[in-house]
Amino acid sequence: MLDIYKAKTIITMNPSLPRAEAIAIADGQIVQVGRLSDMEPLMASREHVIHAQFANDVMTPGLIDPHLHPAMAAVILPMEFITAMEWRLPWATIPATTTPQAYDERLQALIAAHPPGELLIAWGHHELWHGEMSRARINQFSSELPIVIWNRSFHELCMNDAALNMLGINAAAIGQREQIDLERGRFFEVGLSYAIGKLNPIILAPEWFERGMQRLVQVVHFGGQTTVGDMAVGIFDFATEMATQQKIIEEAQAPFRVELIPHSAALSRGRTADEVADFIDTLPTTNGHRLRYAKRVKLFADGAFFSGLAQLLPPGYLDGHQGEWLVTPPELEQAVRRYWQRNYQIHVHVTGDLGLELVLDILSLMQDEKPRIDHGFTIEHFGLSTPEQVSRAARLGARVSANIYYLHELSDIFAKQWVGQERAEQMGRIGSCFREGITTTLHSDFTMAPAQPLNSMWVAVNRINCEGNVMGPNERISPEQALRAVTINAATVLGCENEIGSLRAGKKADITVLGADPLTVDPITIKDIPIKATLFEGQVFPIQPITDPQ
Amino acid sequence: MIPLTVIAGYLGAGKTHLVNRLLKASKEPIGICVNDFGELNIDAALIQNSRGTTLELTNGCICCQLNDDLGAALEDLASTGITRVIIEASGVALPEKIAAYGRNWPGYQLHKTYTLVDASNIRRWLDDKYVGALVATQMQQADELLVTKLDLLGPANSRHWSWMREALKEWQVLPNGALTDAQLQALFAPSEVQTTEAQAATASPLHRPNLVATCTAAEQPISADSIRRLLRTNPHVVRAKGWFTDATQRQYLLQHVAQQTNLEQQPKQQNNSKRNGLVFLHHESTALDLSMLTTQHLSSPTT
Repeated sequence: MLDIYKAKTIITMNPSLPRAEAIAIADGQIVQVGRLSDMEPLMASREHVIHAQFANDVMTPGLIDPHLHPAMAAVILPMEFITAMEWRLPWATIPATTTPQAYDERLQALIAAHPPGELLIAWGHHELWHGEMSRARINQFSSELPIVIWNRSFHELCMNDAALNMLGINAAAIGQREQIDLERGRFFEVGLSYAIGKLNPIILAPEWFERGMQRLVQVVHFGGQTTVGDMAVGIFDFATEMATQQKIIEEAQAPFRVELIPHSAALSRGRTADEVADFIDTLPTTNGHRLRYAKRVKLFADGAFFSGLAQLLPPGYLDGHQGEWLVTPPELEQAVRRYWQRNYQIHVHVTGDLGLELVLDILSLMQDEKPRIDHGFTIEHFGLSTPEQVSRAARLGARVSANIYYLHELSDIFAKQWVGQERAEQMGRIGSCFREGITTTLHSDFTMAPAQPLNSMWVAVNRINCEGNVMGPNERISPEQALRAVTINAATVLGCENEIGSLRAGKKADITVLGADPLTVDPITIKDIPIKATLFEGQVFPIQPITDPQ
Repeated sequence: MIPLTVIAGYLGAGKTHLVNRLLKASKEPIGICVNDFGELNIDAALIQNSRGTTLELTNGCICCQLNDDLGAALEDLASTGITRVIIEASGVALPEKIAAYGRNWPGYQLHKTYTLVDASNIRRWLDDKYVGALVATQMQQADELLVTKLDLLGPANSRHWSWMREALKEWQVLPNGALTDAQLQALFAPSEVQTTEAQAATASPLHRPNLVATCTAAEQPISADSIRRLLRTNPHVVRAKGWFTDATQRQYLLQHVAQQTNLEQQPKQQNNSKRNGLVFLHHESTALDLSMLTTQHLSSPTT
């Protein structure tokens, strides 16, 4: 059986045939792309159906987010959202809540709709918009329902009496503590870890985690994605993560595949480094249809960009604080060597320019020790860099997977507080990456940024930050480069470029159907292009327009 | 409350070496969180039980491998009845970050933060473009520095070391040879030590070459002035520390380093469980006469 889909236009991302009007699919694989009339010999010899349902739409290769974290999403997505920014989620659009009064009203509405006795966690509180949070403030809305208010940054939470009772947290158990303010019900830093320890039996329970994973499936589909990379399998608990993905993604036949990249350090519990590598070697033998390992591994260099823990070259952070290393440089070198020698594709989390300097030094050393050409070594996140580092990365054959959303959300505050305007404008230096010929992709690191490749493209093309200012116009990329980034380049970075990432005969029939052409619309509207459906291996999965705000 | 001690320091500073010795020497059940089991050198005969990332030893000690969740490890350890916890921080950890657990985790109190300093490499690490700032911060954030590998200093490094020695205000040498039980005791429970002069020789902490310790249990009241006078008239005392109580039942914490004497009055205690005891570290060539410590107040105040 041959299925032929007509479209207004098909953007193939195959440079030899960039545009087409029809695509013929059999058994989940593309048989032919081109003009409908050129498919006549094919149609003459095979039973076929010509579908016109997307005849007025635009097709692109199935969009790919090569770096997100399903396990983190599974913990967070079952929470309620009360946020200062609008969040478009598949099950609802969360409206922007921008005053303390509006916050309290929305919280009361959520309480009224919540099953009695069941813990309610509301994420997204921001003091600047919503006013100070306290135990007394939550108590006035409910003394019976256990409620936890989690700060937008995840760095602090606040509970009411019922939640404290439920979790067995009381003055006798706590004593006087700097980072637990029991009177106000506030927990931060070490106190936050303590509170999370008490919440873990609930938020890591199978039913919570599975509900979150089901929501993640909706989020990924809603973003028009047909492949994602789980860029740190084991980040919570390897066995739980795999069992849940097996059930919710593989067995329930989710409309996308997950390329799995193990977090080697998280697998080290009770194993030597070599035993971990041996174990990772065996993982591809467990591959299913949608969940797949390959010779890929994730390593970490410096700290989180959002938290100001990236390691910076001089002049560093202007307020004098320091970044952090997640591992000592000699240990990182040893870990890279272990997997380089085993011919792995190595993905390194690196956020600051000093972190990048170290990673490039190590890559250079590896090239001296054992030259490899098509090694796929990938710089993950790519917050701050220098132009010279971009050239050097190109010479060493490295790839770049950038969280371009940093520029949107953080460049304003980084300019004012941490690194100054010049360096803030040049975070996510991806225009230079394209000029140097580096294979460059974009990712969300969801839940760090929305899992919407069109949104990542929009930031990369326009470089508009949250204050509406254009940051680093010379580092903008074209819509065509941006689409390349989230299709064929993302596939290449995951090592799957022969199967997915463009539309040509022989590839998997993974397609995203859009309501407008991302290469010809006004670039400022790219993020608002409607996503109508995805095809995963030839099967159509429509995307329902989002429902009204709650 | 379980006392929590932090052992920090950069790669190769000797943290695991110290933990290995501690595990073997411990006479009481302690909990030790380490970075990597693989680095430990535990005799198989000493392992009673092994489950996942936890080892139970025949001497009652429990050793667990740290993952990201230090708090979970502290909860597990607290439920086992151990009497104190020692955390071997990772080579990139800031001591303050780990110490915050001692201050904030319910059921625990911070005992002390040690940063180990590898004398043979410290200059190189401080100059390193990647970790120079980290290593300096690790040293700044310690309550006390423990210097290791002095015997590995070559002539060139010796010059560096004399520079470092000037720069460091408070440090002890951790000898590479076997630590005695008493030395370990001094490192990991100094606040509990009830020393007497008779024990002074063995209870002397890890000492610098040519330094000895003189201790007193300080059971009799001692005036603050007499302490100051003793230290002023005995400049060969390089370091002193401990608690004492004066005739009016006020308790003081003494810290004396680099000829600076600091006396801090302690909050009034509800019960009578005062921990008194003083340790004086001084050059062995000159004896220290503690008989001048009296209850007597001097007429002229000293600073």
